[in-house]
Amino acid sequence: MVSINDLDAVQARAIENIVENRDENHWVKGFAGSGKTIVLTHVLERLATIKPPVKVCFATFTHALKDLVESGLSETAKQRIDISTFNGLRKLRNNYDLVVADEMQDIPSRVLPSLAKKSDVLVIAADLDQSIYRSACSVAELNASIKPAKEHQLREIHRINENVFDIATSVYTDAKVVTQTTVRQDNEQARIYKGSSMRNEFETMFEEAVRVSAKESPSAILLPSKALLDKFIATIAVTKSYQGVPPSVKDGERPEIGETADPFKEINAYLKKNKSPLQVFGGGSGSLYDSDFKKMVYLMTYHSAKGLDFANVFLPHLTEEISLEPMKGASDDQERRIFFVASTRARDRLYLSYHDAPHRFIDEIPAYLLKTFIKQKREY
Amino acid sequence: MTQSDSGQTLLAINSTEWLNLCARGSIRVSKRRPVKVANPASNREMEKVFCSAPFTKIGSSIDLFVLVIEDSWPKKAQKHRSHPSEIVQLNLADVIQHQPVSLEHLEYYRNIGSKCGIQLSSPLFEQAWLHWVTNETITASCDAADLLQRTFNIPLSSKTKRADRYKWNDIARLVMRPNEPVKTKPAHAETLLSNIRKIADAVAATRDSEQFYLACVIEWVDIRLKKDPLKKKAIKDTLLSALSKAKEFPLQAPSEETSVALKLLAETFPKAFTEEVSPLSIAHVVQLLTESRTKELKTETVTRIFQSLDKTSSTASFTTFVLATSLGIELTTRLASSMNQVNLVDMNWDSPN
Repeated sequence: MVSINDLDAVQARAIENIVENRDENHWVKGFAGSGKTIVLTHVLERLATIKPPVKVCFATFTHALKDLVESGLSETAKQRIDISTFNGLRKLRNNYDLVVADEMQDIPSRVLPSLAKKSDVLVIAADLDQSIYRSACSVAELNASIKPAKEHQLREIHRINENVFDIATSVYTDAKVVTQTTVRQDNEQARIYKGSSMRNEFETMFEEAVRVSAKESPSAILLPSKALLDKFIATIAVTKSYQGVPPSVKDGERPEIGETADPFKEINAYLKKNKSPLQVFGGGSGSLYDSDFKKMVYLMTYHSAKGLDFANVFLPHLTEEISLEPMKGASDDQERRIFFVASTRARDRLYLSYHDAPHRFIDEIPAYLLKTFIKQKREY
Repeated sequence: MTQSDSGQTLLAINSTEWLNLCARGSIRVSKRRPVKVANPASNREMEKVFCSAPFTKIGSSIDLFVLVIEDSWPKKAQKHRSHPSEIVQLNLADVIQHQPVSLEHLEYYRNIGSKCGIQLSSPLFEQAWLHWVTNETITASCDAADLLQRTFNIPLSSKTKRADRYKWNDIARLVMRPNEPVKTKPAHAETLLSNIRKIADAVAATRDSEQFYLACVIEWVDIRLKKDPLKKKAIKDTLLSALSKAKEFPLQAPSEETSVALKLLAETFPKAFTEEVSPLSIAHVVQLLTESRTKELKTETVTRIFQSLDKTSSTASFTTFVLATSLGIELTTRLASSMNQVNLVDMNWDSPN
């Protein structure tokens, strides 16, 4: 976990304030990658050792996010704090002194009452710009659940660089960027690639994803829907001559959000058998820890990437006809928000690609923010 | 409220002090902290103002304020009972202007100030502050380099002269801002430091294997001399064979065959290298800078690299200097301290976010 000394001034102040005033509601706000989760993790660490002891529980949206926070806590904190997904909250006892909750913008309405039962005091992190689930509670419901709360607006963006920030905000122009926000300067530029066909596009992006991934620096390929995950795997299976027919991602058992399951067990077994670096991630399937030991390319939907970040992020199939929100009747605003969330997962490299005509969002990104992807001269 | 035409008295304070000043109406400060400067103040004078402030994170403009205070304040200020000869009280009434150091945070603090009836002025010293930050950062980078060089028993850069035209300060500047050319003419060090990203991208596939050493040097020769070593008939087969074998080994110290191939590259393209920008140092610098930028650097990697260097060579000085300036003083201090442990403590960069 980022040491307390390396936090920026606003983060450090927020942690102090929350711990000091732990009988009040608090709302940690900030742009994607501004370190909201880090603030909550430090708060949890402090609360776990405070005297007199306080009963604390932590909840977040997915198992992957829960595991990430857990991995940042000391053993003492892990023993003293109950940690759960939103959907698992009902299994926990009531009457905590306070509940700390991350990714609150996506908490389903139906879960809000059980959260309220846990404690009168809530410390939450939520960025309304990153709300991408239709089942999520409304802004009014969210405000009502926590009002009145002390607000802590984080102002330094640590994860993404200026280029990714500019790309994300040029598509989702409604993103709330407080005027004092600072972002990491880097001379990196996102790449854009136009494939001659879908097959060429998928194959090129897959090869590049494999090329730039390394141990502990995995690549992630994000697509809008499970149907497209299927198409992607089928294309790679053909171009890379995998043995057998890949099982469908869509056929996977559909777990309730937050419940333990392994919906992509079959497809991942197929990919493993073919010695593919590809792994389908989401809904409880796949393991981010695998990338600590070998080159990995994670394939997932935009929604599954929520709250996570990767060294290299690929957003293929940004073609004209595609809707980034697979559910019918998606609004333009929803689509923009989903693109915003997906593009801001990139810590180092971001690749956008399409075939035929580009998605309207690509046209909206100022040309100077992108450089044309060209295959490296030499292959190693 | 008084201020002489010839000058002004400035006091730099951090945000905690300023918030306390707003909330309590007064704070205690050392009477030596305010600095009398000309109006307008020069960059040199402003350096004195900024360095008199309590320590804040260098470059973080959110934590620094400049107050224009009454010239007469230090003389008439109320003395603190505990240390009357040194510590005095600064009251809100003594402050003529409150300025955050940069425009970036004006709105944020304006809202806080307005709740306490304090009106913030637009920052007038932002350029001087940026100038000071650059100088402070370069100084801190050079201190970091000295610290790391001391850790590895390498001659300190502050005491060694460079064979080429660069000053160590220029190297530090290039590491921090690779796109900004320094005043000296382009040469090996500048070309290398401004092409780290390009080389790292080209050799990304080799990061986990010994191929990395060869690939970095092949790319470097292409960048520096516009020549593709893999197209040079005399060495092509040797290089391809070395590349193929190197793929089988994890990235550690180069094996004999890789070392031979690196030597061959150096002999075939002598103009691509200098004493310090050697084939091995190119790979080391690319790895160290890429991993420190993406926060993946491990203490084992640093140990392995520095154990493989001849401590008295200029390559060792250059490589250590570049790493330390890339990491900055905080991370270099942490790295040096983990190097001094009996059991290496890994750099802990990762965190859930």
